[in-house]
Amino acid sequence: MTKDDPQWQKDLQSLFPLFKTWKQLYRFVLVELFALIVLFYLFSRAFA
Amino acid sequence: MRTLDWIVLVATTLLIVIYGIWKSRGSKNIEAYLMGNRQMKWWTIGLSIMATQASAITFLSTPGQAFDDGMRFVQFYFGLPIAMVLIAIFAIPIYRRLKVYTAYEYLEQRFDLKTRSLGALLFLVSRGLAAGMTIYAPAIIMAVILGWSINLTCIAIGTVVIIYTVSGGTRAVSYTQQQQMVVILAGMFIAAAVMIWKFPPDISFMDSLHIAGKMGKLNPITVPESLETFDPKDRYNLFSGLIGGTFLALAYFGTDQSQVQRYLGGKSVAESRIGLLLNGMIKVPMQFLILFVGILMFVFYQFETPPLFFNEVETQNILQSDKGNEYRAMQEQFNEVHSNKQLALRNMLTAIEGGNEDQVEELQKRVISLDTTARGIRTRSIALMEENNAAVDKNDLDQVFLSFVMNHLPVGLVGLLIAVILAAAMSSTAAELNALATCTLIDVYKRRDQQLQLDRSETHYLNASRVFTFAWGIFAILFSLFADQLGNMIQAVNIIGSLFYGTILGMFVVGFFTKGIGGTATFWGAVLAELLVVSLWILPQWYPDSLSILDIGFLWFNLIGCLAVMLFAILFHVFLGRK
Repeated sequence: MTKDDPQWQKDLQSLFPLFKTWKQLYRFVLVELFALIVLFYLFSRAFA
Repeated sequence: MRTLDWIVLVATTLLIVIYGIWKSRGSKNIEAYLMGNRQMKWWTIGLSIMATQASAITFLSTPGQAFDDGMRFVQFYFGLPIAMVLIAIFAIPIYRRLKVYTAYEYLEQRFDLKTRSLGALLFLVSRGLAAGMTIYAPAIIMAVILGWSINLTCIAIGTVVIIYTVSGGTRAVSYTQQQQMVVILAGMFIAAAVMIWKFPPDISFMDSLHIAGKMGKLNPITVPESLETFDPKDRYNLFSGLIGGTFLALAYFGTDQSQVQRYLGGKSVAESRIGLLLNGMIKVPMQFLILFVGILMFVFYQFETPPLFFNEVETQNILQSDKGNEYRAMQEQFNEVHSNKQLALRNMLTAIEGGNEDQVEELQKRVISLDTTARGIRTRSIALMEENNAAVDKNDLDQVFLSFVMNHLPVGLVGLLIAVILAAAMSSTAAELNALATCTLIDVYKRRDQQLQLDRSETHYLNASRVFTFAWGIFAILFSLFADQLGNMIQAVNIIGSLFYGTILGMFVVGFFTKGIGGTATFWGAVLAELLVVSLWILPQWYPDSLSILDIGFLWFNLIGCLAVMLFAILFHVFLGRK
């Protein structure tokens, strides 16, 4: 395994200022997935 | 197709190809040709990754699948965002640090030459065969639309792809994919809008959701009610999507060169990571949209009488045969049931509006019962077609969306939607040829030169890359020309990917997460694991009565293959020591 280079963090902030760390971006992707699953579930229940 | 459609189709396709060739001109070495000088931006990488995965069949069959089976197929993609995060954390930094051209170079640096060769061989076999299918599958359908022969369509698609892939390499592939993805997404949005616009005046968008929901089509989440009802053969449910889908996506995006090459061309680790994560954020909603197009089409066909069978060629064949009258009688019976269903649906919508739940429930039962009757007539008509011609293509789901496009879209948009399908076919084929050529050059040709201590120039390898791209393109076209004679081989080719992915992933997982396990243990672990996976696939087919318990959905092969490599490699390591 390779440890994250501090430069990558800086690159992230310059490309995506919304996210300060990589962890925040990873969390965002996973939370979005979870939110989509919940939304899909509610959507199917609403019209079942 | 009318003249305006042809203009839109040809202009869209040519503009994308010319733009790709122009943007990628002037590659002077293999770093530029195969890796785009590692200067790609994150949005190009993200769109390129999506376009590589989205083949023409995605856009032809996914709406048809939703039309028939509802939206549960979306669960197949639930593991993808998880896999994107894991690859971004673990794989990208390693690939970038080692400055590899192919994923399989890593296997030699971590293990040994034989493990690298095994990984490269598994990729070349599975992807080499798949490249032919990527051309052939849409060509069968496009041939009908364009009025060309299947062979001519295969040659036309393959030739265009070869021209820009040979000329511009990775950059041409990525830049064209960027434009192709824009056309694809725009086309799907327009198709969805036209479907809503084509609903009868008394049917609103909300009504369409009620209809689809009451008829069991809005089912993006399906979970077994209990452990006893869990069916391992069921490919699309929440658990198979999250677990099996994660392993499949890890294998495909983390170890398949056609995807790895897309993000290895990133300007930095950050650009590669963000490009990959963009795919993780967009893929699930995008698949939901494509499936939703199928749902809208389903509702549209509740108020517009659909053909009994969507494959027009097969329909004409049966109508012109001595069973034609029997088929016509079935169509009339089907139309009558369909009219009754329309009436019941309208009554159900009135009951929903009035809040009369008992009546809604009663009418829902009536609609479902009429729908079951209609499906029964359809099944009988297919059996009649088979009786008339044993070689009939019984699956018309790939034709549903195209039938809608051809018969119900306004002039001009037909050309755009055909351009969408062509763009998808070209984008995935181009990425495959590019990756196959890279793997052949780096893992076979250049590696052999190193062994023989041959010192060749950059220009030589650049020319060799072009020759390999061209050769793989010709191989793919030739395979597509003979694909119709392969019968069940086609299905087998589609399955091959699932059979190999778990094993390839297992080798990388052992490499990434263990320190002591050596090449020999991993190599033999992978060989044994592959034998296990192939046995799990073949044995239930040979002995369906006694070994049906082993008959499981393909997604689980990825998990089993990966875990088996890890287990066997550990066992070999214990017995062999670090070799």
